[in-house]
Formats: sequence, structure tokens, C-alpha cells
Amino acid sequence: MRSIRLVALLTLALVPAMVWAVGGKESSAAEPAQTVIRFTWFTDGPDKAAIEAVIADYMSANPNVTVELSIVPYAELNQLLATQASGGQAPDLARVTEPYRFFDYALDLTPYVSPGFADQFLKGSMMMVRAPSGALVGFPHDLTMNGPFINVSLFKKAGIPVPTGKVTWESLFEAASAVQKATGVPYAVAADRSGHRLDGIVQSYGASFFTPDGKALNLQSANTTGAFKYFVDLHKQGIMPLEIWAGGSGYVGGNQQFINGQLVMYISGNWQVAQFASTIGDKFEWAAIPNGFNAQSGGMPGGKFVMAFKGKTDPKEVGKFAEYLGSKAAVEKYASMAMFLPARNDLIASGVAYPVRTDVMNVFSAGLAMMPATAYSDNYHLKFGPVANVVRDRLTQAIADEISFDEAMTRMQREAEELMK
Amino acid sequence: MRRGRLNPMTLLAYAVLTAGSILMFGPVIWIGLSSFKDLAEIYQSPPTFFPKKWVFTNYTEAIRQFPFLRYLWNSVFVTVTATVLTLLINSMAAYALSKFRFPGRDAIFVLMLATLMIPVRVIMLPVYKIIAWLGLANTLAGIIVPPSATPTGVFILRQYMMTIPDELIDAAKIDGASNVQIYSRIILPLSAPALAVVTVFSVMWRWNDFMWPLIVINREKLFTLQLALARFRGELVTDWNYVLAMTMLSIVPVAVVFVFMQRYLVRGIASTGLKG
Amino acid sequence: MRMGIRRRTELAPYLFLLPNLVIFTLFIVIPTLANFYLGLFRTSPSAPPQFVGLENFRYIFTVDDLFKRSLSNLASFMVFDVMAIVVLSVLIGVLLNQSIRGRGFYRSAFFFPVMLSPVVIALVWGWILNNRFGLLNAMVSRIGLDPQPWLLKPDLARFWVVAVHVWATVGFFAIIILAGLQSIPASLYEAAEVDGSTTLQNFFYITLPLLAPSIMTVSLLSMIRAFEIFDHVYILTGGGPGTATMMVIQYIYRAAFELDQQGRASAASLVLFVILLVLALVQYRIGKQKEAL
Repeated sequence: MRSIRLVALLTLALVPAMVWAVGGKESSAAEPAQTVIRFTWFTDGPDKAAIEAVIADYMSANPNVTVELSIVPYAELNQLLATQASGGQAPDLARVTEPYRFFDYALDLTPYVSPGFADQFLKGSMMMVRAPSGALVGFPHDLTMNGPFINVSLFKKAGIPVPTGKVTWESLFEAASAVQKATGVPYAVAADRSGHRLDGIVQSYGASFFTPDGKALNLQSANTTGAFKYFVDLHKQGIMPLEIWAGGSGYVGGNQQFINGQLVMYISGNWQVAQFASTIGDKFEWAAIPNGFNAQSGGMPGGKFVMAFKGKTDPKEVGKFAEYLGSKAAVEKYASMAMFLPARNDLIASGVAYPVRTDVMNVFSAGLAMMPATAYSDNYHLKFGPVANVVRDRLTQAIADEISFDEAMTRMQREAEELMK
Repeated sequence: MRRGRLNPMTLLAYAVLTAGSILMFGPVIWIGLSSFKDLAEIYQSPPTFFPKKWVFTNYTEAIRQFPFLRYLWNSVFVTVTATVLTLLINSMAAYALSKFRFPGRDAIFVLMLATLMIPVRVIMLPVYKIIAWLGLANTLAGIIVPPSATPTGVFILRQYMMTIPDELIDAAKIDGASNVQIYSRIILPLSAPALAVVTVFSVMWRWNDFMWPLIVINREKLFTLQLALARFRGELVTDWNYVLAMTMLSIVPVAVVFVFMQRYLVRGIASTGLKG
Repeated sequence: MRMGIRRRTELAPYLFLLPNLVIFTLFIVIPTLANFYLGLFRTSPSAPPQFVGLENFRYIFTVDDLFKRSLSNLASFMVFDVMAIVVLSVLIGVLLNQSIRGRGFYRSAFFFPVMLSPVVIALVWGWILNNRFGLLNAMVSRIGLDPQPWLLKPDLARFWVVAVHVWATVGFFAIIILAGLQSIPASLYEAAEVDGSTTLQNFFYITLPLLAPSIMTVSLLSMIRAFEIFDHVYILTGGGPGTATMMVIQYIYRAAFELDQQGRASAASLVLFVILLVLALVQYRIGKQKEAL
């Protein structure tokens, strides 16, 4: 009887004892002698070395500050930050794509940065880091731009000229298709399976997911429905491969086929440039071309934000570091190393010198200026992510021939309406 | 006589096992070989089986990107402590559920069964709030304790303990053994194969787990190896060469544990020697 | 004496249960209840939760086509997955229990896939099953058959989803069987041998009946694992072609993290929980009847 209790109590005691043993040790070890700024980051490759270099510069200029960079996979980023923030354990800064998710937990940087700070960045992107309360929760750190890549060597081999200037998507796809037939490669055109990439294509047709004022859905408009129908038909005609959009692709993404020289045209964005430059090497010649131009130019902006969270760290130090990260020198160094487009007005105007393929990067930055206003209003809509996923999934059903196109549009509208409530 | 009888079975066993091993092991070997390819070759299609050019930088570069030994130590610490804790509390619970009759027993057991499938992702937020409230956020203990009351472990052990004859326990009781003595001297030794299964299950799961540690920890010095592996998966681009190299590195310790533990699966219990 | 035992048995089981139960309650039961409570709200990251009563349940059952589809996909997946795992794990378990040379190697070979992360599993099976460049189609055309779009036809994709999941998990279930085989006394086989019983008879009259508890464990565990199937399928097929391999957890994941509808996801997980509770009760009853016999 006694021994049972004894053992039971002992085991019960074991749990908290271990907690204290382990927890105690770690927290005492973590006691900072100086300011520690915790910075959560996700990486698409070359940006990691770039941000580390920028941070190292700051730390050598400010020996009282230690910036702890913590790298996490993008797929779990939103869940991770929302969970940690709800427990009062958010990092001081984080690289995010959708700042509005964390407005409740955000630090208002206004008192801690210089007055003109916010005006130095692209206005459209700046909207994303203004909370409804007017708080400034961060700044746009880089921009991305959607657009097509082409395998120039295949065009040359087929004897078909590379399209230049304002060309419709139809003629771009026709050219790619002709090149595919002439050269015998398996794929003509591929687009990433993403509502965001799709929106960049359909923008050319005057289509958009939301009305320009952002108050309502625009999926049922003639322009949008027509462009969706065309996109589905591209798969039925075999111009776009089923592997990517119908599902069942595993990891066979368009970038893999493009790197292998088996794909004539790949609709993606400037974030591919660094990896293409290293993996393609001199196997073949490739380039970026402007988005298709039907009623207007296509394309879709995107980008990453650096955002500040409320926490125990001295907000003055967080603000000072954030202002440094957004400064001209730091952004220029970062964008150049990572091969991203800058979101600062002065650098957009002057351009950034890239280590390789500045020509390709220039095609993307030129595209930024041509982008229709609805591309911005779609991308910065609070419901863009969810609605884009509904569009993606319902079109997938039509592409896979599971349901008719009309049925897909009905279900898309019904589900998207539910999200707008 | 005996050997002759077993021969066809043994032959069949060899044939099926060899074919099965190729099917099971082949893709693993392919992953292993691919971890020595450069990114361009990993992306090559049709894919190659053997690397055209052996690239060791996948390993050296991947390791250089973070303090490998520190993460290795964190992983080992979490896995070992969590497994010991899991084995202890699960086997105690399983003993209670299999060898006692008491009010509420069936309800508790069925509840445990029903919660077996609750995906971690779905309840992550409330679990984390409790962790933060207990002051366990950003500690290794926060990784270790919450998932340790695994219903799966309780279930496997309980099912196995049901097969231990009650007569053994009755006899011990007549000899004046206490419940703790029965648990530690009869139940635990007799459950060795099931404990081995739960050990393998726990080691494998804790070693490979990344979602929960990722949420609990946001300081890199407390990261485990799996978090280091996951970092190569970006929003738009994934560095497969590093992912594969890190996968191979992280498999090795679990493989060692398995090769060691699988011996306990044949050491049997009361059995008077094994077949064959 | 009798009294003593009875009093002891009244307290002892609770004490043995206590540590596990405290952690279980704190980190599984309470969060699960909190999650169900969320099912009564409409939630969004950009607005405070709004109480909507049973609206989420009405939506998933009467408006949403994907919830029902994911349930029926799951049911068919589960039937084939569990059957394949039970049969194969018994076969592999029995074979791995033979005293043959290289047993350690074989056991490791069958167990290895269990250690791989779903991301890597999907990568390698993607290489194998790719319709244009995959290993399988290369082999199929070498023996003169037509290459198939393995993951692009609904029925083929459903088959491969089961096959890859079985490949990835059967090693774990085989060791449960292996452990169960250890509880069968060797003396039984020796006695049977004296009676001139064949290997096959041994298997059906001794091994299989005495292995019943382990088989029960495997079938229930594999059933539950099938319920929570997500990563393997999601990364391999993305739930496609179309929605042919979209299962319930993917539905929940999509609602919660792709559509920001945490409330709807919670409602769906409550439905799933109830189904599993019923199945667990049924299984438990059957188990009890067996024990009573």
C-alpha cells in the first residue's frame, strides 16, 4: 500500500522535476547580457546568405545587440507564428507574406523609427503593413513579380523567333507549342499550380478575382470566367501538361522540367532566377520575357515583409534594427545578393546591380511598372489567399475532368462567397 | 526430420523476403545514392540511379549551415528522455487498464482510443497555450512532455498485457507481492516484446517529429535535427540536395536503435526457446 | 486477506494511471474540447470570432460537396489500406520470425521505409510513378506494355496512394506481429509436429488463432492511422487527380490553413471524432466478447 503511493508520487514528481531540470538550465543559459533580437526567417535559397551578411554588418556596428536568426520551413510559418503569438512567445521580428494575420500581436513601430520611414517604400506594398488601427507593423522587404521564362535555345533550334514586345498570351502559347512540335520536347507551357500565378495570367484579359474596390468577388465577370475557361482548355489541348494542375504531380514541378530543357515556356517568377543561373549553367540559353498583353499587361506582384511583434525585448532596439534592415544600403546589399527586386522607391528608380543575369531581372522590374491596378488590389485583398486556393482547387476539378467547367464555376462561386462572409 | 519439414517454408521465406526487401529497400537506396547528386542531377529526367558525379558537398555544406553537433545532442536528449518517460507512464497505465477492474476503466480506455487520431496540427493552438502557461515554451521539456501520454503506446501495451496469464499475478499475490512488485517484476519483463515495439515507435516518432518542436522552440540553439532539415523547404524553392543529405544523416541513429532493438523481439518471454 | 486485496485494487489502478492521465488530460483532452468549441464559431485571421451555432455543421453536410467526398474517399482508402496492412504484416511478420540467415538484415530492410519522412517518400515515389520519366513506366515499356499515367487516373491514383502508404508503414505493423509471435509457446509447435501437422496447418491452427490479439491491435491501429492519413497523400498527389484522393484530414487542413476557416475545420474534426468513437466502442465490445469466451 505504502510502496504504491511512494512510487506513484515519485513518478508524478519525475515529470515536473524534469521540466525544471531542463527548463531551468535552458532559461538560465539564455539570460542575455545584452539585447537579443529574435528574428524568424524562411528561406528560398540565396536570401539566407544575404540576410546573414546584412545582420552581421549590423552586429559588428552594434556590439550590444545580438540578432538570433531562426530559420523555419515556409509551409508551417503562418501556423507557427499564430500559435507562438497566441502564447505570448512570438519572435521580435519575422519575415512573412501575409502580415494581416498577425495584426493583433503586432508592435507599432511608429514611435521607434524616423518619421519618413514608411514613405520610402512602394505605396501598394505599404498598405499591407498598416493595421486598421493605423499602426505601422513592419515594411516591405522585397518584391516578386510573376512572368514567363523561355528556353531560347529551343526557339533557335526550331527556327522560330522569340516573341518580343506586346504579344497576346495566345500567340505566346502558339509559338511555344510550335517550338515544342519542332523540337520534340515533351512540354510546351507550364504554370505553377497556384491561384496567384493564375491571377497573373488572367490579369491580361482584364480579369481579376475581386472588384477593384475590393468589396466583392469578380469571379463571375465575363472577362474572368472567359480567361479561366481558356486556361482549362489549354490543358485539354495538351498545351499545358496535366501533371502539374490536375494533381498527381508529386514533386515534378515546372521548374524541374525547365531546368532539364524539356519545357519551352515556364510561367513562374523572378525568385527562380538564382536557382536557374546555378543549375542550368551553360546547358542552354534562357531568358525572361514580358507577360502576355491582351487587353492589358498581365503579371502579379508578391513579396515578403519584415514584421515586428510585441514582446519583452526593448522596442527601441527592435525599431532601430528594423529601420536598418529597411535602409537603402541594407536593402541594396540584400536584394543584390538574393536576386530579389527591392521595394524601396529610390532603388526601384535607380535599379540594383545583380551578380548575374541582370538582363533577366530587368525584364521583371520593367514588368512591375506595367502591372494593372487590379493585380495590386487582388494581391493585397485580405481574402486573396483563401479565394485563390478555392479558384485553384475548383479549376483543378475541371482540368481533371471530374466536373464540367460550368459546375466548377458554380462551386467556386459558392465556396468563395462563404469565405467573404 | 525437422529440418526437412521446414525446407519448403524456408525456401519460400527466402524468396518472398528477398523480393520484398528489394521492393522495400530499393527506393531507400535510391534516396541514399541521390543524396550524393548535385541539384541539377536530382532534377534530371529521366532520373539517374547512380550519381554520374559523386558530390559530397551536399553533406559538408548542409552541416556547415548550422551547429550540427548541438542539434544532434538536442535530438538525442529529446528522444531518449521522451522515450523513457513514455515507456514508464504508458506501461503503468496499460497495467492498470489490463489487470484491474475499476469504475471508469472502460470509459478511459475508449476515450484514449477515440483521441488516437486527433491530428496534432488541429489541437496545436490550445496545447501551445497550456505549454506557455506552464512556462514550458522554448524549453526542451516543452517538446518532451505533452506528447508522452501517447494513446498508441498505451493501446499496444495494454493489448499485449492482456495476454499475460492472470494466474501468474494471482500466484505472486499469494506470495505477498505488492502491486508495484507485480508491475516491475512480472508485468514489465513479460512485456519485453511489446515494450520493444513501443520503444521503436517512440524513438522513431520523436526523432522524426518536427511540427511540434518547431512550434515550441523559436531559438535556433534549441533546434533539433529535423528542424534543421525542414529549413531547406522554402516558399518557392526547395534545396533537395540538402534535404536528401540531411535525411540520410538523420536516419542513421534510428537505424542503429532499430537494429539493436529488433533482437529483443526474438528474446521472447516465458517461451522455452523459439521455433527453429 | 480478501478485504485487503479488494481495498488495494480500489486505489492502485488509479495511481498507476495517474501520471499518464494527467498529461493525457492536459495536452489531449482539454485541447480537443477547446477545438470542438471553436466549431460553433466563424473565424478569420482578420476579424474576431463570431458565434454561429451549428452553421458550420450545416455547411459541411448540406452545402459543401468536398466534405462528403473526402469522407467517401477516406472510407474506400481505409478498407483497402487496412486489409493490405493486416495481410501483409502477418505474412512479413511470420516470415521474419523464421530462423533464417540474414534475418537481421531482412528485418531492417522492411523497417527502413518507416523511418523516412513523408516529404522524402513522396519525392522518391514521384520519381517512380511519373508518367513520362518514371522508373515504373520505363520498366513497363521494356516488357512491352503501355506506359500508364499512374497518378493521373482516379482509380490508379487511389491504388498508388494505398500502395505507397502500405509501403511506408507495413514495417511498423510487422514488428507488432513479430512481438505477438513471441507470446506463442514453442511447445505448441513441437506437440503439433509430433502429431504430424504440416507447416500450413500449424499456421492456420496454431499461429493465426493465437496471434488474434496482435492482429486486432494491427487492424485497429492501422485503421486509426488511416484516419489521420495526410502527409503521404497530400505530398504525393495533392489530393488529386481533381479531388479523387482528398481525405478528411486534408479537408480539415484545407479549411483551417488554406481557407482560414478554423471553425469549419473544428466542426469537421468533431464529426471525425464521433465516427472514430463509435468505431472504437464497437471494436472494444467485440474485444470484450472475445475475452469473455
